[in-house]
Formats: sequence, structure tokens, C-alpha cells
Amino acid sequence: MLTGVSVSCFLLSYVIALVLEASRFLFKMPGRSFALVAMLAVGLFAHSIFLVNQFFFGTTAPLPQLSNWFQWAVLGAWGLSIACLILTFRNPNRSIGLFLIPIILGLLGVAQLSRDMAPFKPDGLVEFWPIIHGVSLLVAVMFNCLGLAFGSMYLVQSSRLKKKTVARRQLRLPALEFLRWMIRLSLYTSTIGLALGLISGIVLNLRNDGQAMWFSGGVVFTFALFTISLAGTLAETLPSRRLGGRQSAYLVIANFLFLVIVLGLVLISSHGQTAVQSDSTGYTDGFRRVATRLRSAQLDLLADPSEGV
Amino acid sequence: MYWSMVGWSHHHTPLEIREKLAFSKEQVGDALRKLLVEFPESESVLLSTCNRVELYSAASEQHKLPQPEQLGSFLTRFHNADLSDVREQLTTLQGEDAIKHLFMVAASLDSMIVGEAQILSQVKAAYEMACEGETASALMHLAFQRATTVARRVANETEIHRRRISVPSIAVSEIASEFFERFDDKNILLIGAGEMGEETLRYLVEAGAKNIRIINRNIARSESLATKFSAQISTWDGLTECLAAADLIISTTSSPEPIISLDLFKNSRSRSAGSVLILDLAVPRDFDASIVQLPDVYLYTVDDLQQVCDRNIRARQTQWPKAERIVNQEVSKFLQESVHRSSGVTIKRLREQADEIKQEELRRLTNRLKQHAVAEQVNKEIEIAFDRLVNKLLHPPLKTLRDSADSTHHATMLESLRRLFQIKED
Repeated sequence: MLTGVSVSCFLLSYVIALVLEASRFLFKMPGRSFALVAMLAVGLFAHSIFLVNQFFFGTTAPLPQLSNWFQWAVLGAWGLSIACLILTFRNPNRSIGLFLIPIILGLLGVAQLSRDMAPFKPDGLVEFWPIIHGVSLLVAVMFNCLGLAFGSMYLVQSSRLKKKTVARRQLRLPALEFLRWMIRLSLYTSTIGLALGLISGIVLNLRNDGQAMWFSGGVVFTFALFTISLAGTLAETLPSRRLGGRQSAYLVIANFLFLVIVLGLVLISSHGQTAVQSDSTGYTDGFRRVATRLRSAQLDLLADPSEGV
Repeated sequence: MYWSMVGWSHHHTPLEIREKLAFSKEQVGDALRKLLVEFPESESVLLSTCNRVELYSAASEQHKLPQPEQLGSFLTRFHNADLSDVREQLTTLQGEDAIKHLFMVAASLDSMIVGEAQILSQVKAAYEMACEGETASALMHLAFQRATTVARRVANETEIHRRRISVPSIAVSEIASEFFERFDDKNILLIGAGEMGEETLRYLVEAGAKNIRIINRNIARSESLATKFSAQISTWDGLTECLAAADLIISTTSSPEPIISLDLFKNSRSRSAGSVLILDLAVPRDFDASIVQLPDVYLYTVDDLQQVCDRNIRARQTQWPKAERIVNQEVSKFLQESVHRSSGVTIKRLREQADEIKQEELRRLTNRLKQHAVAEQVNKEIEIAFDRLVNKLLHPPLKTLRDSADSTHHATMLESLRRLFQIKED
């Protein structure tokens, strides 16, 4: 099915959409919002085709499953681009894409970096807990990313309104109330996702070794991330301790930064992978792979002939 | 077709004079009836707003159009005033200038606040009243129909109407909407019941606001406003509780000192977590300026909103040249069409006259030829020759007339043509 569709196709669409968003600062352009939605839609279409090829035609498994970090990150970017398209379509004059598209591109960058990493489960069987683990953490990461975008938008909008600099044509953002609502949604959803990811991760560890590996890197980091997220959620929920708008925004941004650190550590470890050589922490091998990947200058997305499926 | 306009507007006439010369709706009807009696051969539309009193006249021939002096005198006489007292401020425009002025007025380019939307409906209302009073007919219909088109073009092709320029409308459409997605679930508190507060409430209710609470020292005024906006009333003692619950506060009291100090506000909001927007529309201000330093509190004063107003007015003014270009295009298009329309009647009449002469001569000739038993084919050939002769004779003057449609001599040429060929129009 449209086997020529590669990462480059939708990456290019997203980059053009980002350029269109950024061009608001430079000049007026009739039909810009339409072009922006069209580019996002085209990108999402190509992105969806790519994923269909990956999950349905590029595997021997009876049902689609997340088999490696590459697919995981591309799927996460796909979820964010759906959110971006819907939000841009509903608010065509607000610069939502300016904050969301860079995160989508970042996730695609992560996907590209992790392209050569070993698959999660080479046996190709569909199992319940690994899917729950992968999907719930993916949802948590996606909403964490949304939290970053909406938290940043909130800070910009709030600071502008505090300084009484009313929105100009170049950078119009959604209302504070909407941003606050999105921050809460991303905080709550990512907490739920992390909780499910943590529980399923512990179950997976139990099943693999017969006993819980409480201090394995994945469990410890997910637990830490979950704890911070839960604290923020409780602070948002409890009326007596409810956070202010800016505090919530800072919280989701901090959550994201912590997520980046954790994700970085997880990516360079052998977490979720089998049949790889690693030391007791599992990091050495991962570090080596990423370093090699960066050194070998295979980051040229457009020139990569192996992208076609 | 001939047009003229006489009147007084905010450009040259102070408010005191405009007030004296203004017409109420009933007076407009009365004036139109009198105009019909006094100037039966011309059409008239009387536009009277708070910023202008203008009388537009139109006639198919110049001599039928009343003189500006007569019209000015009519308007002043109606108000028992003397034209000589206001002659200096009187604006009189003729022909193209009058039409351009009408288009500018309808497109709100001549308004005190450029781009205000109300004027077009006032122009339409004036025309409709003239139609009802039977002082407006085909000529005025053409001009006012086109004025509406011009106003729409200006509105659609420029951004002259897009920015709000009154403090209450900006408070809701450009400030409050940056905070709130919707207003139906927001607690709105109005402190004081001034005009500005009432106007702001009107915009908020239009935007969907439902939970409105009014606090005012004058209970009667509160009740009147509460009835108007289906709001609730609180006594002054309940101010702290109302401040705590509000998402949006509008303050418009006439207190000489700030009524909400930093401490009072801090204490009342101590258990409230949400953001609050305060629109302090009072002069002097009702809220202590240091309140703005509190987190999640956004305080806007009249000055802040006035800055936005000024910016929007400047933005509208930048659109003015583009709008004027549209008006100029439409004026020249309109005048061309008018010229074609007016010369069309003369040309038609000339052709009819020529045809009558041709038919008469042809009839006479055919009767004579019958005596010589001329073949039917010859008769047909003669008729064709007569047609060609008439067309060839008429072609040069008519072509010259058409070619001069854009020139200033067109009216003179048309008049000469009528005289030379003794054309009588119905």
C-alpha cells in the first residue's frame, strides 16, 4: 500500500507547516490557515500510510504491535499530529502549531536515532502486558508532550496578558481558560498512562524473572515520573491546594523535562529489548549504539534509501 | 442625470448647530412631504444622524434640480432658523462630488469614527423613508442601491470594520476573550452601575454570560440593571464574598478613592484558586494598582483599553486609502452607467424620430410606385436603402456621443443633439 511513503514525506509536510506558522511573524498571507491545515492533513495522511505499512505489512505478527523504539516514537508523533491538526482546524488563527510541530519533529528525530536499535520482542507474538505497557507509556509521553506545548503557550499568553500586550496578528494563542484545561487534561492523562505503564512494567518484570525487579532502571524511573505527575495531579484536583495557572504550566514543563531525562536513560539502556549485550546497568551498550549512530552521520533523513517500506 | 447634496456634518459644524438642525424621524417625514410640494420635479432623501444633516437631490435635467441655496434655505426654515447664520458651515456638493460623498458616508469613511457600522443602516433608513414619502424614485434608487454595494465592498475588501473601537466592546471581544473560552459558566461581578458597566454587560450577555451579580450603593439602579440583564443583586456588605467567587470583575463606580485595596482583595481571594480578570473601567480607578502584582490576577484599566482603542482606530485609518480607491472606482463606474442611461433615452428617441420620418417617406413613395406596377422585390430594395441611409446619417453623431461618454462635454453634446434634432423626451 503506497510503499514509497517514507518518514521524509510526512517530515517535509510538518516542516512546511511549521514554516507557514513561523511566517505569521514576517508577512500577511491570504489563505495561510487553509494551507497550514492542508499541509498538516497531507502530513498526517502520509504518516498514517507509513504506520499502516509498518504495522500491517511490515510484520509477520497476526496483529499489529509495537516492536521497536522507532515504531513507538513514530506512533507517538502520529498521535500528536492528529491533536495538532484538530486543534489547528478548530482554531485556524491561533499559533498552536508553532508549539506542537517542533515536538512532533523532535519525536521523529528520536525515532530516527533509535532506528537501528534491537526490537522489543523478536518472537513476534501478541501479548497483553507488553502491549499495555508500551501503549500506556506512549499515551503518557504524548500527553506529557502536549503538556509541554500547552504549558509553554500558557506562560507566553499569561505573561502577555499580565503586561497588557493584547494579541497581535503574528502570534495569537488560545484563551487562558482553554490552555489551563488542556494542561489539566495532559497532566491527568499522563498520570493515568504512567500508572498503567508502571503496573504493567512491574507485571512484566515479575513474569520474566519470577520475582519483582523493583530497582531496575525502567521501574525506578517510571515510578519517579509517576510520583511527580501524581503529586501535580493531586495538587490540581484538591480544591484546598489547587495550583495557580502559571504553577500548573511550570509543573507540566518540569514533568516533560524529567520525562526527557528518563526517556534518554531508557533509550540508551537495553530496556525492553532482548538478545543484546549489556553490562549490569544495561547502559553501556545503548550508549555505544547511539554514539555510533551519531558518528556515522546517518541522520540525513531525506537521503536514507532504507526508509521506503 | 444630476445630483446634489447640501448639509452640515461634524467636519465643519459644531454640535450646538447640528443639534438645532437635526431632524427626528417624524420631522423627516414632514420635511419630505414639504419637499415634494416645493420641488415636485426632483427626488430627495434626507439623512439626519447625530453627526450630520444632509439633503440629497436628484433630477433628470439640470433645470429641474433645486439650487443649493434653495435647499439650504428649506432645511433652516424647517427649524425656524436663518440660513445666513449657518451658511459658513454649509457643505454643498454637485454631480460627481455629491455621489462620491454619498458613497463615502455609506461606507463609513466620512464618519467621526471611521468604520462604524451604524451609518449604513441609517443611510438605508433615510432612503426607505424617502421611498415611503414618494420623494425618491428611479434616480435615488440607483444612487442609494450603489451606495449600499460600495459599503459592502469596502467592508469585505478592507479591514476597516474589523477592529472594535469602543472601550466596552474591546473589553469583551479583545480582552475577556483572551481569558475565557465561554462566558455562560463564569461568575461575573459588576461593581457600580455606570453606563460603561452597563454597556460592557450588554456585550457580555451577547457573548453568552448568564451568572451576573451586581453590587451598587444605589439599589434602585441595581434592580433596574438586574431586571435588564437577568442578574442577581448583592448588598455592599457582601462585596468580599462576591470578589471571592468572581471570574470576571467589572468596576465602574464613581468613588473618588480606590474601593478595593490590596489587602481587601488578597483576603477575599485567599481561598480562590482560579485566575481572575478585573476590568476597572472607573475614573478614578476602583482597584488599587498594586493588585496587578498578585499571581493569576489580571487588572485592566480604562487607559489600557483606551490604548487598544487608539491602536485599532489607527489600524482602521491605514485601511482608508484602500477604501477610498474602491469608492473612486465605484463612482466612475456609476457615472459612466448614468451617462449611458441618460443618453440612451435620447438616442432611442432620435432613432424613433428618424424611423417615423423614414416610414412616412417610404409610405408616400410606395403609394406612387404602385401606380407604375413596380415589383415587390424593388419595394424591398427601396426599404433597405432607406434603412441604410438613416443608419449612415445617424451613425457619426451617435458614435461621437458614445465616445464622449467619459468627457465633461457629454452633457453639452447631449443637449445640443436634443436641440439640433428637436428631440422631445417624455
